Formats: sequence, structure tokens, C-alpha cells
Amino acid sequence: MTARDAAAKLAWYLKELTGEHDYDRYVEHHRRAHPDAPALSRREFERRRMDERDRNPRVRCC
Amino acid sequence: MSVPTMPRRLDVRQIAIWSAVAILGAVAWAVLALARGESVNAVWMLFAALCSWAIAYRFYARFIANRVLGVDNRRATPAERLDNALDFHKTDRRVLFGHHFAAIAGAGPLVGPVLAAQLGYLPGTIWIIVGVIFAGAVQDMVTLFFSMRRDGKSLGQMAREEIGPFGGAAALVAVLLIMIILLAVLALVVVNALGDSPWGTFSIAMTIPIALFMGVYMRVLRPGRVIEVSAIGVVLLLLAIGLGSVVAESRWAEAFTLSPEALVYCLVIYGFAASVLPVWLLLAPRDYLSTFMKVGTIALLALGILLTLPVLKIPAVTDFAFNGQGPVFAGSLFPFVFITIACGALSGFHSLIASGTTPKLIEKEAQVRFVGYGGMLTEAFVAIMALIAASIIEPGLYFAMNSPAGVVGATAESASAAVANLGFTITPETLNAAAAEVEERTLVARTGGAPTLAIGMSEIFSRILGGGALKAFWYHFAIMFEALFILTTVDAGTRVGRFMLQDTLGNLWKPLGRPSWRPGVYLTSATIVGAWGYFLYTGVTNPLGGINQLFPLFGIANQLLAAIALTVATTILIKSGKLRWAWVTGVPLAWDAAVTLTASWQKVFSADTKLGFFAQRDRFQAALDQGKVLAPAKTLDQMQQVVTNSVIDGVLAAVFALLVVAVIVDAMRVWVKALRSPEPLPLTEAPYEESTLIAPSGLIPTAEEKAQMAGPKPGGG
Repeated sequence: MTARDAAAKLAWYLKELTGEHDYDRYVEHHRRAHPDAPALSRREFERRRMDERDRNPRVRCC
Repeated sequence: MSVPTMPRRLDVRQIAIWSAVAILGAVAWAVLALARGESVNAVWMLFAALCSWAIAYRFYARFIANRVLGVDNRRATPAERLDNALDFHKTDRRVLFGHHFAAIAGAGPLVGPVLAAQLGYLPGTIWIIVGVIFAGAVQDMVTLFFSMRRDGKSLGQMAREEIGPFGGAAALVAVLLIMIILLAVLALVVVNALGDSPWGTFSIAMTIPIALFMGVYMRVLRPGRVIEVSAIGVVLLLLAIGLGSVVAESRWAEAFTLSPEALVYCLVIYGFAASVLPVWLLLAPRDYLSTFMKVGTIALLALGILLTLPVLKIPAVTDFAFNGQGPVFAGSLFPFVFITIACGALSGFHSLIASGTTPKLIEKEAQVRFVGYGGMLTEAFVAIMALIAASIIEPGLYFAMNSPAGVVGATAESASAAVANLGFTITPETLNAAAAEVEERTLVARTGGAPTLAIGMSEIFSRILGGGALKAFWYHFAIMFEALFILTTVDAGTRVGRFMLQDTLGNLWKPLGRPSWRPGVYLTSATIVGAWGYFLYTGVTNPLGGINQLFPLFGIANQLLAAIALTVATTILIKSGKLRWAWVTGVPLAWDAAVTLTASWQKVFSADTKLGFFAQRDRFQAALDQGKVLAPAKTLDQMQQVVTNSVIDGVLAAVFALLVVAVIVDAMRVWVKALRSPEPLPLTEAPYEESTLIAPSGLIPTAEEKAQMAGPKPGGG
């Protein structure tokens, strides 16, 4: 594995971990499930996700 | 229906590798166990740990997953069956490991081992390595598995369903109480680290505007760009740490030199504000920032230890292990090394996380080994490194820092004399020089573990980069790293506590249960913050030392929650007809219960006034009745404080113990019923559905898995 491969894998991992790929997956899923309705904008999607965390707080351990 | 995959026969290459690992581990253990008087290198601790854990993961964890739990990759997990792109969705095992580890990794494995170093490096090392293999990682993995089979039910729900409503209610009460103590003790660690430290206080204060900036940036400017904003945040954080040095020497220093009492008020106000403000503004950005800092710093520390190969300076076993008269916490090796290390080897709190969001995201059943067992092993790795960092410090300095002010006084001279009384030596000049090196006014009686860890880390990091000139920066970097994620834990914990309270009270009066009704939110948040704030305040003002008094309570509470989790697991195993494997959770349960009930007993009934809360209370009350003031109290008011605190702490210790005994006894009733019943008792698992998902079970896909994922060969039949 070259250094560039390693860097690409790390970038993929960090993006997955922080949820940066989730919007693209949502758009894909939406396009297939509801082809007629417009998908949420990135901003709207992220806002809803964050507000969801208001309702379901994550536990952080000791 | 389907047979769990049996481990393949080991081939010659595998046998050779694992034999080498076993030999290296054995040599490392021999060095640790047999070295007397000569200096032992910290790297032996690392090798003993890593080799032991590698063997445990490869053989014991696999045995538990395949034979005891019966993981079945042909059975669809809830993430696959109930996928709704919200709380149930398939998550790559490596990403899930990251999330799970970020959730379980807290200050526990950093603080506990540092305090346990009072007994020498060996007791702590043994428990961290052995305890996690047989107790901690087992608890995490089996709880994750059982919750996953029940579509992500929480520990409380499983306790209710498998044991009974009484067991379930006891578990819920225990969780709420434990959370309050946990938050108070963690906040106390921060207060002790930042008290009278303008550099530290400034740096931590700056994390608030940095987080606010990050929050607004992500909400308004660049939604979802977490990595980008976190990178900016980390840079700003490092600048803040650097700036702290300037501020500490400027005329602003006074403004940031806060007494511990003042810091209590700051933390309480902050805790309340952070828990009622929307998540996107403060908590979420702090969470990202602290997760990256946490993981990055731990990785740096590991690298640092490997590069500097420091020598352990604290003895293998100190006298305090046997006489129980140590200043950091009272009590001898059994049972208190286990209580103090807590999260580093076995943590009941993890069972809440293992039965939280993780079971809803896991792709394949077999992955519980990697995520559950592996995650906890990684936590224990953090604990070992913290123990190393504490053990490479001069013992005299260690005890000067970790003994409460009541023992070492406030000056370098009094500390030097007190340390000599304890059987170690440090001169006042050395103490002053050590403080000057890290640009703190004093290191004396800076209890709570964070400053000690920071000294150890600054020692390691400065040898790699910067030398003596950067030692102060590294010290404050380490303080910042720990305080940052502790405060995030406090915020998150307050929020979760509030939800639990709102949930419970919502059953009594509807409006309180609604998250949208602001007055209810403010009231319940204030209650939670008030609860831990009260304990924090008593900890800070306690003449006997807050960490000395409260940390054992935290440890006991955590281990008792672990007992509840292990009880639920044992109950499920027995109920599903797996009596012959019940020892896998039953033995750690028995050990955990024995240790923590002994500790609770000693804390409540011991006649030693340093150990037993009520004996302590009696002694101080007797003196108070005669109008006398006993050291380390200085006024009659403080005498009264000691009496009140001792009673409350003693009652809490008793309540924790009773709750756990209640749950275990209730569970035993179910065990007897299950063993007597001719047919197996009904299971509460979710229905079986065939899985169509192909994903690797462990970190590295096997050749077989790779072939399966590549799909059927073209032209095949």
C-alpha cells in the first residue's frame, strides 16, 4: 500500500466516522425511494440530524 | 438452525506466531513479577499487556462469541432487519468501533490507574491486564450481543424483562445515582487541576468561544463539514494553550486565577447552560473536538512511551497495599485496587453504552467480538499507559501531588516533611523546581490524577519534542486534553440524566416529560446539575480531600453497575439453557460482587476512622460535641462539614450495596426457576430472519470472506 493509498483510506475512515458521507447516502436512498420528491438540501439534512441529537442525547462515558 | 463457525485448525505459521507472542508475554510478566529494586522499563508493562490481550482476543473472545453466545452470521442483525436510516442502520465495523470507543473512552481509565499507583505499579498492572480479559471486555461484549438480539434494548429494559420489575427498577435507580456521583467526581478532577492555575483556567475558558464558533460555522456556513471545522478547532485550541502562557504572566493572570470554590460555581453555571442550549451550538462541537483530541493524544502517548522507553520509578508494591494507610485513598490492595482502577478494567457504565446505540448499528453478529471485546481492550490499553505515566514520576513528587492538603499542607516544606513521613523523599527545592518547570504556582496537593498524568505526559513528550523549554506547554496541553473531554462528559451526562429524570417524572406529571416544554427542561436540568454540583462542592471544601472521600464511592458505584450488567447476562445465559457456560459471566460477577460488597462493607462498618465513613463521623462528632477541632479541619464549621459529608457518603455506599444485593437476589430467584423448569423459559429475543448481508466479522477480512464479498463467480452453477 502506497502512502497515497494509506492517506485515502484514512480520509475515507474519518469521513465515515464523522458522518460526512451520510448525506450522499441519503440522497442516493431518496432518489431511489422517492424519485419525484426533492431531497433535502445539505443544510436542512444536517440541521435535522443535529436536532435529532437534541431529542436523543448520546451517552459519554466515564 | 445454523451452526456457529468453529475456529479453523491452526496452521503451522499461526502456531509459530502465537507461540512467539506467548513467549514474549511470559518474559514480560516474569520481568515485572521478579524484578526487585532494579529499575524496570515501562516497555515490559506494555508487552505484558499487549501479548496477553492478543492471546485473549484471539482465543478467549472467539470462544465466548462462538461457543457461549453462539453468534450467527446467518441471522440478520437489527441494523439489517429494521434499517430506517435513523437509529437503525448498517455501519461499517471499523467506523462502529470508532464510535463505540469514542463513547466508552473517558477519564476513568486515566484517573483510576494514576490513583492506584499509590499501591505500586504491579497491583494495578495485574488487574488492568487480567481484569479486562475476564471481566471488563466480557461484560461489554455479552451486553452488546444480548442487546443486539433484543433490537437494542437498554440494560434497564433487559433487567426488567429478564429478572423482573423490581430488578429493573433497582437498575434504573442505580444508574441515575451512579451518574450523579460520576459527574461530581469528574468535575472535581477538573477543579483540582484548574484551581489557582491561570494558564489552565484561561485555556479551558477559551474552549467555550472556540466551540461556539465551531457550532455556528457548521450550522450556518458549512453544514456537515465536521473534519474541516474540527481541524480549525484543534488549531485554535493549540493557540489557546500557547496563549495561556502569555496570559499567566500578564496582568490578566489574576482574573484567571480562580479558587476551587469559585471554579465550582463556574462549572455549575456552565453545566446548566450547556445542557439547555441546543446541541448544535455547544455540545456537538465540543464533542467532536474532544474526541479528536482524546484519540490523537492517546496515540501520541503510546508513540511517546515506545520512543522514550521510560523507567518505572515507583516501587512494584508499596507498603500502602498491605496496611491500607495510603494518603490518596484509604484501604488496602483488596478490595481497593479494583475499586480505584474501575473503568480501566471493568466498567458498569460501558454496559449502558453497549446497550445503547451500538447494538442498533452492528452489521453482523460476529462483529460483537471486534467492537465489544476489542473496544474494551483498547480502553484498558489507555489505562496501562496512564499507569505508566504515573509510575515514571519520582514517588516523592507523586505523593506530594496526590495526598490531600490535610496531609501535605500547602507549602513545599510541609509537603516535603509529610512525604518523608510516608516513607518517600523529596526536597522542597525539587518540589518548587518541578512546579516552576511547568509554570504552575504549586504542585502540592493537586489531587485528582489529572495533574499527575500531565506531569508524566509532559516528561515523555518533552523528551521527544522541545525538551525542557516545552515542558510547560506539554503539561498544560495534557491538562487541556483531559479537562476538555471531562467537561464534555459532564455536559452529555447532565443531558442524559435530565432525559432520564424527565422520562421518570413524565409518568407522574405529563408536561415534565415533554422535551419541548422549556420550563420542564430547565427544572430537570437544574435538578441534575444541583445534585452533582452539591457533591462537587462538598468534595472541594472537604478538609479530608474530595478525591480521597468521593473517588472510592465512584469506583464502588461503577463496579456495582457492572455487577448488575453481569447479573443480567448470567440470567439470560441460564434462561436460554446455557448453564454450562454461565461461569463465563458468573465468575467475574462473583468476583466483582465480592470485591465491591467488601469495599462497601468496609466503607460503612470499618472501625478505622480513615476507612469507614461512620467511624469517621463518630470521631469527628465526638470532638465536635466537646467543641474541639480535629486536624485537618480548621474550624468548627469544617468539623460539621466533615460529619455531614461522612454521613451522606456512608449512606450512599450502603444504598449502592443494597441495590445490587437486591438485583442479584432477585436474579437468583429467576435462576432457580429456570433450572427447575422442565422446559426452557421463554426468550425475549427478536425473531430470527435470514441475513443477506455479507461483511467481515473481524478487523481484517479472511480469504473466505473476501471471496464471498466478491460475489459468485461468473458462469458458476
